[in-house]
Amino acid sequence: MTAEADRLFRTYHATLVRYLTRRLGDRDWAEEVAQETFVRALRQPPTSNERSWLFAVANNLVRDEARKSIRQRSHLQLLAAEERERESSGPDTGEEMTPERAHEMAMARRALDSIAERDRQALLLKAEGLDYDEIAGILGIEKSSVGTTLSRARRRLAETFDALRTGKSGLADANTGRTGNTGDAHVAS
Amino acid sequence: MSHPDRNHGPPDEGLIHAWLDGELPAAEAARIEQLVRDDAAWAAAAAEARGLIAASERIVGLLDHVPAGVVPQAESRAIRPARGAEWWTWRAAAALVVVIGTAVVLRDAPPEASSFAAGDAPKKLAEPVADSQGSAAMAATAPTPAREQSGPAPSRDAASRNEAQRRDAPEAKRMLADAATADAARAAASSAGSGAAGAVSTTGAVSTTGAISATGVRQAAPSAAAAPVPTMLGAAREERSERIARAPDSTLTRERETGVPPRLAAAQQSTLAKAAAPPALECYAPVGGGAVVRVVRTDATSAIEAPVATPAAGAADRRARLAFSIVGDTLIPRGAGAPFARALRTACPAP
Repeated sequence: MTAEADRLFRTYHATLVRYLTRRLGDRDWAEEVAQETFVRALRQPPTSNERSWLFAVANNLVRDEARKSIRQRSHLQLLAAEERERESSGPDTGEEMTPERAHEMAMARRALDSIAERDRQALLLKAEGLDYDEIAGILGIEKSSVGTTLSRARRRLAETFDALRTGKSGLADANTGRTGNTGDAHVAS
Repeated sequence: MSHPDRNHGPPDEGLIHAWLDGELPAAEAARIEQLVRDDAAWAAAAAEARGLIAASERIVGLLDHVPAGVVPQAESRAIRPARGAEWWTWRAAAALVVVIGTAVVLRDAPPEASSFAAGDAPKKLAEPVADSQGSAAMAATAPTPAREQSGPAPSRDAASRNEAQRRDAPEAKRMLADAATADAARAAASSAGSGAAGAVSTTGAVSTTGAISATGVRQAAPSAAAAPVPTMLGAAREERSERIARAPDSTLTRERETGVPPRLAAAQQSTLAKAAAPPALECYAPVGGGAVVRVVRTDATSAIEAPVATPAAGAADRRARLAFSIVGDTLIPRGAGAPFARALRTACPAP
């Protein structure tokens, strides 16, 4: 079992955490979900396509996580804040977060928030290298509609980001119909 | 997925994206390619789609606040020896200071101080094993006799006992020095982490071995036998307890409640923490922000505490103990990924 767990971690952990981080906007939350996903994979090993299985489980966990109590979410947010603070003061901080980069990241997050949940998931799954079959299986849609879903998501993302960057925030808000960056908002849509 | 009619019709964005993503069968892909080549509208749509794909990938990439794979194995290998060496140096230096300090204090101590040393520090040797681990630090930071004399005048019986202890002081000094040396050496051995096993065994002291194999498997046998209590030390301990029980002084009152002189409590606690045995874990290479650790010791509590009980893990990594899942013989961290990963790569070098 340990060899299998090791292989699963080596193969999928990075991509799963990246996917979840992009989706949730919270690295700690993403890692929490990813680790719980692997726990479930170890308890009940996936029988067919393990990558699809892992991403589907992660998606379900995100949905379930959103239903948990505010107290638990507050705890995770506290951990995230502590971690951010620690990392910002630690000696091995990674890439420097300049104000410009932070601004771009915020715009990217806002643009991603602007698209529908299913479109967002398809976009992020594709970014992790999943093929149309896998995306269709995870999202429960027809393979023939994945291209359309992706084209819609990409267009909305790019247009909203461009609108935010050029200062047309009104247009962006009109497109999104909402603002903010909370994990719950991702899931609720 | 719609298909272009014979008159080409308006470009199908979904189809073009699927084509650009390489998701179409060969025959259909060839057809779309022909359309893009022959029809200006399809060509423009394909060009736009290429731009959208590139833009969306760049925008999504902006979301990566922390790059994936936060624990590169090369980094963990590079960090490990430096931290280990640092710990070794500090622990060895601390042990040396304790030994020298104890010897100097005992050599220069007036008779009253000798009385205290015989009456207090050996008492700690008679404590259970966990307590005895802090005796070196306690001896080095023993309170001054003046504080002890601030209490009520000793009774005739107590005075005669003190006189007896003065006569026996050289013996007490020798035993205290032996114990301090043993404690210091044991603390250094348990924290060495150099691949060699260290064992310390002295009269009335505990025996501990700690080793880290060259394969990255950390093993520990923190078993410790109860120390035999010399009769003289037992008498001194009783006398000390009586004095504490009678003392109205607030400091001694606290000591009466805790069993440990307040000025020594902090040092004792620190020494106990530093002397904590390393966990028994077999480590796999940290992967990404998480890791898999195979539990060698089957005790569930030990397994949960093990990664953060490692002296090298440091207090900053205590959050790592917040959540673990044990599946079979696999320990999986579930929370605070980065702190855990940092603790793990310190505790468990990559194989």
